[in-house]
Amino acid sequence: MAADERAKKRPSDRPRAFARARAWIREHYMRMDPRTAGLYRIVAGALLCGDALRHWALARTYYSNDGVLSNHWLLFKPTSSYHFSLFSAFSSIEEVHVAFALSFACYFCLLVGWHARLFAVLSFIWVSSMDSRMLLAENGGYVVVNLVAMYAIFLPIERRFSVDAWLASWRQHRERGIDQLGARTFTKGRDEPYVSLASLLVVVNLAIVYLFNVVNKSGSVWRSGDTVHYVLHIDRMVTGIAVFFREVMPEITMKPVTWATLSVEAFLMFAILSPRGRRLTRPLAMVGVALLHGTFGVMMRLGPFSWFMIAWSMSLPTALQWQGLERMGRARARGATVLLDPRSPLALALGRILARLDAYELLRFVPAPAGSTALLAVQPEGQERTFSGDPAAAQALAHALPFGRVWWPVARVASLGLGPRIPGWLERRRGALERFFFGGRELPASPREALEPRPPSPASLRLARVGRFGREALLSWMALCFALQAWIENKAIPPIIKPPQPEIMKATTHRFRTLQGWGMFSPNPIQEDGVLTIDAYTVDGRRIDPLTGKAPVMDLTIVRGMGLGQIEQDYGNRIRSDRNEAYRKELEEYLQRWHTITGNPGDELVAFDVYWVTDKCPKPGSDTPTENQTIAIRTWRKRGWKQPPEHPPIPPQPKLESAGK
Amino acid sequence: MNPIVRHFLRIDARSLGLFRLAMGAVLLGDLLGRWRWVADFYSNEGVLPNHNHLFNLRKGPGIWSALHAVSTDGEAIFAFAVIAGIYLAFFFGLWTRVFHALAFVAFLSLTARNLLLEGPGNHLVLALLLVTLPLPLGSRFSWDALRKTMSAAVEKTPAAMRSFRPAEAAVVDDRRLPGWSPLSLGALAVLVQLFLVHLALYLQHNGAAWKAGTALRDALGISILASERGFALRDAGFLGGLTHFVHYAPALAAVLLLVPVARGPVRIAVAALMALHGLVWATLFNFTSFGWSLVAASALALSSEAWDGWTTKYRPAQARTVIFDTDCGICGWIAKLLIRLDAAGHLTLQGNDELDHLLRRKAPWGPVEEADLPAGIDAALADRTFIAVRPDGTYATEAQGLSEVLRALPGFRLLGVIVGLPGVTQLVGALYRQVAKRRHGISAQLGMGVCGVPLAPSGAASAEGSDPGTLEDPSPFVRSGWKITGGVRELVALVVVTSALVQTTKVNEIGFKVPESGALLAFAHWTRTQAEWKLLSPEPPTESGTIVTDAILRNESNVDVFTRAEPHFGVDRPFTLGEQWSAYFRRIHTDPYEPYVAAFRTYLSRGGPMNELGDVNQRPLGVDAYWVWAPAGGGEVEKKRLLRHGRGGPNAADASTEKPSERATERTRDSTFKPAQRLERR
Repeated sequence: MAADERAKKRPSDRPRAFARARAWIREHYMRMDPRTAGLYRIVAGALLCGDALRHWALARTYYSNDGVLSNHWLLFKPTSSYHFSLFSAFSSIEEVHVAFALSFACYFCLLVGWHARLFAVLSFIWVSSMDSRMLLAENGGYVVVNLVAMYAIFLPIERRFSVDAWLASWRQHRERGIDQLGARTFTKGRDEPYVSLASLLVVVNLAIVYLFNVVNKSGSVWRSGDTVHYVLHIDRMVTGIAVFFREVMPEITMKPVTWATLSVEAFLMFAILSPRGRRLTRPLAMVGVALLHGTFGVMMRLGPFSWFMIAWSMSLPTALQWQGLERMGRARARGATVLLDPRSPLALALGRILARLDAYELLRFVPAPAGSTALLAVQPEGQERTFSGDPAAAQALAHALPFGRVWWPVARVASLGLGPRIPGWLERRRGALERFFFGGRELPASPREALEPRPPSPASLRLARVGRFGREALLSWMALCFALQAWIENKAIPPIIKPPQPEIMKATTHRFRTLQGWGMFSPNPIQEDGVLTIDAYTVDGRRIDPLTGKAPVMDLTIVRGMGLGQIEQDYGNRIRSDRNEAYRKELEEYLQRWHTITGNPGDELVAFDVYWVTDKCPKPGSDTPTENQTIAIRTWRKRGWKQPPEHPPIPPQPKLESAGK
Repeated sequence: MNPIVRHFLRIDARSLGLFRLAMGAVLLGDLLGRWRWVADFYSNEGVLPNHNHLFNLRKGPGIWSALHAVSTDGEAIFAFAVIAGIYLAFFFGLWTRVFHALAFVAFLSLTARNLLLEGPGNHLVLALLLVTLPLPLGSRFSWDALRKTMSAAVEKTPAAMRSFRPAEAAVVDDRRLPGWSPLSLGALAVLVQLFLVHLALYLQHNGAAWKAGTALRDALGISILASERGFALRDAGFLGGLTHFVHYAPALAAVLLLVPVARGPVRIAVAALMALHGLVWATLFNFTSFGWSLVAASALALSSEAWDGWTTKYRPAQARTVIFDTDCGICGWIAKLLIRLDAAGHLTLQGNDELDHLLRRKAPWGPVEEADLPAGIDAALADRTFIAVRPDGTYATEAQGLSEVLRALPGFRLLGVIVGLPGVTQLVGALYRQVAKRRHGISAQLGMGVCGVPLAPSGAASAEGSDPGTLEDPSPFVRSGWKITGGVRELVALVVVTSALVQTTKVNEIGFKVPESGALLAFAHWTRTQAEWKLLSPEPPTESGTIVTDAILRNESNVDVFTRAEPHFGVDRPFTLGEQWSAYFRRIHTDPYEPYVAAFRTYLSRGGPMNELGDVNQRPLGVDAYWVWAPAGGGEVEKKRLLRHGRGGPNAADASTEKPSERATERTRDSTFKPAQRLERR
């Protein structure tokens, strides 16, 4: 009987249970506050700009045909399957400068949120193209950059803190009288949560990064707690700060720091995904990510990895955090009454600006009484006095705006004291400004009704629904591809349970380098240090490494950090591999024409040997690397060149060997 | 405005709009022609992989093409789809400035991706797109203009619509309304560019064949230069006269372009000359894009006087009263659009709630008179369909009414005639009835007024228009912005016109040279505005030649992979592969393009165009490619082997009768290398 009842209940319960589960996921993971997306856009945009400048500085050597890998050779022998890079179309250094300028412009537009969705798409294409143009310098950080840029396309990045949002509010909600400013109709629906699979994906993907970073680190060195010791002794990657710490940190502290790192990564995964206590877990996760990756960032030359992981964590705040922040800010702000000349279009415009900046709605806008000549006057809350045209007016306004007490002193200093003088300047130049901006017109004595946006038509709503369906379908496909990619790529998954990857899914993840292998220093950290050294002889008798401009480093055991940038060190680490031998010819040709790039005929190389210089990192308890080795991977002598006797002798060409697969 | 200044420094916005439509169509047609060969010319499966092209260009001055980033045929098809989208947006005038610039970049990319396909058509299209870049091509006949116009349509009643008057030219210019075109160096640049093209064409057609009137007949006998149609007409009797027309038309057009008087008829004559001249090249020769670009450019020659004479001419017989449903939002929207398209003032709008009398006008925008309502027009009819009432009181409804209204509008007369044709009328009528039945639903779906809701948009979604305040004088702030953008516009125009002058006088023999500037020549090189206006100059070639491939397939059949028929070692058949292959074949056998032969060999080794069949039995076991030529007037056919793949073709024994050059002999020796090895040897 009971079985029958169960059988009867099942068909109706199943859909209900499914619907409940879907509603739960939707409620807990698929909603994103538009302010979160705005913050994510700003941080990602700023970092993309910075990263573009970092690469731009090395454009000639790594991205142009003057450098170590020409576009025609890259296209002839692509460094990956499904290779695509817009940068491949740019050959000369001048063209590459144009490409970087265009990409920077896209990132900047994304940062300020002007046509944000369009520029998010373009930014993603540009940044993944930059990565694909020089895969020999790629590390996991580049993949993080690509993913961060890609998720921006699908999030509501334009709805808050953007030029788009400002312009939409300015154009669609047109107050035409001072008394209409208090209505603030532009705030209606502004912070309604955005519901999409994108909100789920961006957070879950972040958690997956930490999940695999923990489970992939299964090696003995991690278990014994010696990872931090080894990592701090990789001279190829460490910064001066890391060198300082490895020299002053007692050995006994290395193990706890190692285990703490692993614990923090494990904790981050749970904190990010936790459906409960998110008021606390999400901020904790953000702080954890910032501390963990901030430390990595200052200790290691990992390129964009650390900073973009922090940017990724900006997708974590929920409405709870924003509300908390608002409460905190509101408690520290002080309201004010703003009196505006009701006939002045300039006063109305200033009022409209202030109303849009006044996130806490602490400003009250009223028409100035008849007889008043002031454009704008401010009466702080609780005070009888009204300020107009003096620094106190500016200060009172700033204190009503979000975190005005914090940024107002900074703004005063940054503007060299000019900020507080703005109200006075406005009052003095009022006539000229009104003529310039409004042609000297006055507002009518009885203002017209405010213009509000027309509600969307049923057809446009239907079209939007179709667009949303398309977006969710695309995201579902990408989720599937990413999941399979993660399953295949991570070492912790036994090979026997890894299915073959369909080509179309491989193409989806590989074309724009949105891979999912998360295992830095796993299963064990690198214990063998190494660096690419060019032992070159110039025509004027100098011995130099053209990649660094310094004397070649032939003994790595005496080095206290190589001081190489991420691009240089990762390029060296890749070009030494046998599988990249095809690209060494390009390096050779670059070195042969190096003097044409420097513009100094004396820099012409007459001989060079390319070495992979390697040593063993010191064992725990020691600080002395051992077993220095120089492995020649390329050699060249200028045909017919005879070294003058006053110059150092050029050694015989070394025997070429393998420096690793 | 001084007529001389206006002549040289201003192009009517309607001319610019028409040019955009024509050039958009040319671009789309050109892309369609290229699409047929997308894998063959633009992917690494084709005659020139991207790496090979970039490698061969590495020592020369820079050539840039976005399509160099594209490798596979799938990527190339995607890139073509993007380009098609750009061209369509340019054609319709959507964000015209942006898509104008992008159309230029797209065509530049198509041109520079495979320099062996480049020809005078590419140069002309790029020159025209570049020289018009500073001008507002979207000011008329565009989506941009329509959007701007309709957002300012504030009339809420039929009476308000009847009182609508087109803005005066001074107001249009002052406020930059749709129809605005600036006084600009850009206009001068267009004039100079057109003048230079025509002058160079005329002066360089200075051979004996042009003077004797035999040039076209000679040229059409050269199959690789002639279109199929042209080749068929090579012995036509009118070619002598046509040769003289093609010879002298450019000279006449160049001179008339500079004549600043009687601008209406003179400019119409110039436009007609340019269009006819272009048509000759487009239809008879494999200079298709050059010819059609000239046709498109003829629109730029039309003057304001010519337009005004056509569009604003009032014909009393075409006056119509249009009775429409005032409760229907979409009807009101269309009514407001009609009065804006009605440049001659033929239409008088009347609501279906004003059926006491017939309202009509006897002069453009003149006083509205009341007349008796014609018999048969009542509320029921007006509710069922819109009604177009003629001056004599007769009327038409549904499709016939539509035809009547369209014929009253300038630029829509032909469409009106087509709609009025038997068969078409019934079809359009059926469609109209379906829409009319659902008009209230459609209006509601589109968010337009229904059942008494005001016709005009009430919200700020169209705030610019619905706020009469925006029609006030632009502020000094706005005008300052215009000055800044105007300054940039003039600077761009100056660079473009100077570059065109320098480049044209450098590469053409037109009797004078402008001092060269490295920067301007680099600009011309990078933008591929090479300005070589040498079509059949100084006279047609004396030899007719083509590439013939002799392939033996796995199924043992012997074919020319381009014709898929038995190889024909002759030049007496029409060339059917089109403009791109014509340019490619004319280049690939010459010495400067020797480095590109290896990639051609690889392409042929995969079966060339037959590769798309995907049939392994149709793959070649061996191919020989020959350059086959004969004197233009007929004579002994000769051939030389350009390349060999595998064991060569079955007709290889004939090679003993050929007259191989040293270069061909060397290539034959070199063909022992497999294609992949050849690429490796780069």
